[in-house]
Amino acid sequence: MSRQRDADVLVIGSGAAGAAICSRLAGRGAKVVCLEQGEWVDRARLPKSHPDWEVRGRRYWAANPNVRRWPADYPVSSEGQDPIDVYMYNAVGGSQIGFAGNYWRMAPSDFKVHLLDGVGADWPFDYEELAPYYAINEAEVGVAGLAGDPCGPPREPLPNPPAPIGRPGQLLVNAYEKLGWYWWPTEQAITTKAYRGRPACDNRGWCTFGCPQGSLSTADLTYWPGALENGVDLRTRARVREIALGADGHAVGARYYDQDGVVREARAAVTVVACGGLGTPRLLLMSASPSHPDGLANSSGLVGKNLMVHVQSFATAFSKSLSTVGTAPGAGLSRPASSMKPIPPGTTCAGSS
Amino acid sequence: MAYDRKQGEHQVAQSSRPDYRLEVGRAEVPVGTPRSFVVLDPARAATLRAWTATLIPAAGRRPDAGSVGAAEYIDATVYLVPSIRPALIHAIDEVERLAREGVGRGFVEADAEEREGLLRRLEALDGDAFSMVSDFTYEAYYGHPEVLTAIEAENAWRGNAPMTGSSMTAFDASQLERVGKLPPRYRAVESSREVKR
Repeated sequence: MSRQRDADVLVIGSGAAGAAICSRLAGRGAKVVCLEQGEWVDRARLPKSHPDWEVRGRRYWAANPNVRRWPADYPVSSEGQDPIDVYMYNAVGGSQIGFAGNYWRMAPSDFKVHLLDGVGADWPFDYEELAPYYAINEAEVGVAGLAGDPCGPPREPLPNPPAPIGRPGQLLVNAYEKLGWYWWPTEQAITTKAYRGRPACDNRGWCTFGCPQGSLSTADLTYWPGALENGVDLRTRARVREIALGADGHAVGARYYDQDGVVREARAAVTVVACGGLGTPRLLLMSASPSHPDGLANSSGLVGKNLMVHVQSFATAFSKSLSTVGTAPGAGLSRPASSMKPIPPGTTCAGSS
Repeated sequence: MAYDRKQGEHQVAQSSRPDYRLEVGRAEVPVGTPRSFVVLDPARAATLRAWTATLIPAAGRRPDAGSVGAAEYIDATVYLVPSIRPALIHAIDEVERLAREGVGRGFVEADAEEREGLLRRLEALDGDAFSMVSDFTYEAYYGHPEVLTAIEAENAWRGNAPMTGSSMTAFDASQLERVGKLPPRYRAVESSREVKR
């Protein structure tokens, strides 16, 4: 193994966060290596490239790695009284390759839940500090939406106009208006018009089954082309085994299995772990050593605990009169009650997604 | 640990047999493709075809599931996923046994009402196998071009819309005239110590 540094920065994971970090740092001249255990998605295999897309979507494209079982996947147990439905992908672009494109910002109150409500912990920074970076990311991604939402703080215009709400959405909007309820078109990572070399969405819907034409803004399409142009060394099928530590106990890189199963080491001045909500704590715990018997960055003992999941609720209805619209992706959306002011009696704030 | 090296060692469901929902994950069996039986012998193939046709009988312009290759689709699936073959073959044999004992002839020769009753009995005896055949039958049926054409004629739902897309109608922002004038409704955080509600 070489003791030379391979790069200024080593990024583990090529998903939404890892891709953005690689692109930004390489664009400023840093030498960056990225280790990704998966591969590039073959767009010809995306479910929506085939008439039996629904079947393919629940088989080899299934969001649950225990069902999908790609070579890059690893088992994820979900047990107990209320096991979660694991939703993740291991590929260039990470779990974004199977996401629906919802792309709203966190609310200011989300950063201060302990201060406001006495639960959880506050973030070490607030919304205002993060807002400029939200804007940078939204420009890179080409987020669609509309400024002016009264349930969010003032913000700059979004790069793309909102997606159409379709006839089902219009039916709901008509009802909201009749009832005097709040609604707003949600922010989505979808190019509703041609944007930075990617075509406008053509309204196929069912975004989680892949977007063959590339209008869904996944990291393999948004950040990675530019990152590669800027010289990022992206190593696919590189499964990291552990973070490597120097004599002083600080990270100096990572040891990983290459595509042939050979253990290699990549060294850098800075190591970034960007493996998602499950992969990051998994790797930190796998990096236990005599000097860190409970895993890296785990002096609190909380690594791998208190996973916060993204809760989704659905209401489904069938209507013959609305079934000709195809599959419009647009949506009217409410804000969760926790991020809003207490609602005065007689006022209703609700919506749909 | 990865699935390429540990295939089959991880089971999420507690079961005495492989969970077909997990086992079929990587199987790619195109729907609507003409194919012959590979795993099942002719007698079992006939039983399975009758089984699928009983699950989804013909109705209006819709064909029955047996006539659009649902049984052949299931056969192709268990060909690619050998671990679930025993469950399928055992279930087919059980259906035949129930038919011989219950109506005195084979499942294929039973009438529609008798077949339904026999499958209800199988469902009570072996719910996993019944669900497996039901799930695969739905997969084969509701992705088949002939069925999608019939459904579109019935209610205008286009099953191929995610492949073909449709024109985008621009969002009409004038609809937000009322909502856009609502006062701010988010919880502002003035500072780390001062909270404005």
